[in-house]
Amino acid sequence: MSVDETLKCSQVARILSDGLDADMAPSQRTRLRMHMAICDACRNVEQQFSLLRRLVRRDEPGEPTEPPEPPK
Amino acid sequence: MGIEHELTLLRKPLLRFAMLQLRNDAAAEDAVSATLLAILEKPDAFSGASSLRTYATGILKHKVFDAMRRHCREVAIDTQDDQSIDDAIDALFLEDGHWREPPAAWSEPEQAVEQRQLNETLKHCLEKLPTRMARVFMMREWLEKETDEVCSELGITANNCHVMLFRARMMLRGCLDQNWFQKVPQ
Repeated sequence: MSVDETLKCSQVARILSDGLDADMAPSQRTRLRMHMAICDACRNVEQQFSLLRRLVRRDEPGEPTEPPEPPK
Repeated sequence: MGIEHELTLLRKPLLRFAMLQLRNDAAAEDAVSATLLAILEKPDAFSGASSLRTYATGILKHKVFDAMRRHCREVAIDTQDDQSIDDAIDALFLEDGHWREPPAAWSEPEQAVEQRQLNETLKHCLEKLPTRMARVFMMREWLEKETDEVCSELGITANNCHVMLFRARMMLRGCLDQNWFQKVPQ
């Protein structure tokens, strides 16, 4: 796939996930950044994957509870 | 409060954590027991620089990884779950590859990270993942193993590992979105 070929959101979601686990080729990163520049939804998913990682990595056991209610 | 009493209170939450990774009552029980025993036998090793909870969690991660090496390589492949999850992820997109319902930004994510209740929601989401997928995800994210080590320990290909990590992240993203962020007033 050349740098000129645009990515679809369905491809971007997978690429964002892979990017958390392995280095990305420069050409791939370029295509990704070009897509992200115009796609709010994929930027949101990128931030959410990142937040998910932070949540899990800083997590420690708390008191077990029933499923909590989000803040009112 | 003595360290023994504190550890007694920590046992149940530690067990739940171990279960998220191991999905096996006996193996999780052993990992937690080994953690508590390690602390009780060398109480002076706990300097107090971190909380006892943090210290115990660090030890538990090693015990869980040891347990996986000893007992838990063989996990049934959740073929049915894999297919239904694939279908659920496919359904998020239109045929042209665009999002069917574009994901919205999460409200005040930085503040959310600090809320312990959000972690409870996350645990409930993790418990819904198929066993094998949860194990791959937790090895990568909670135990912070590199993917080649995850592949090696679980005897899976790199591609399979990346697919499962992708599916897990998509499912967890959707679960947190539905059960937490969409319920927070904007």
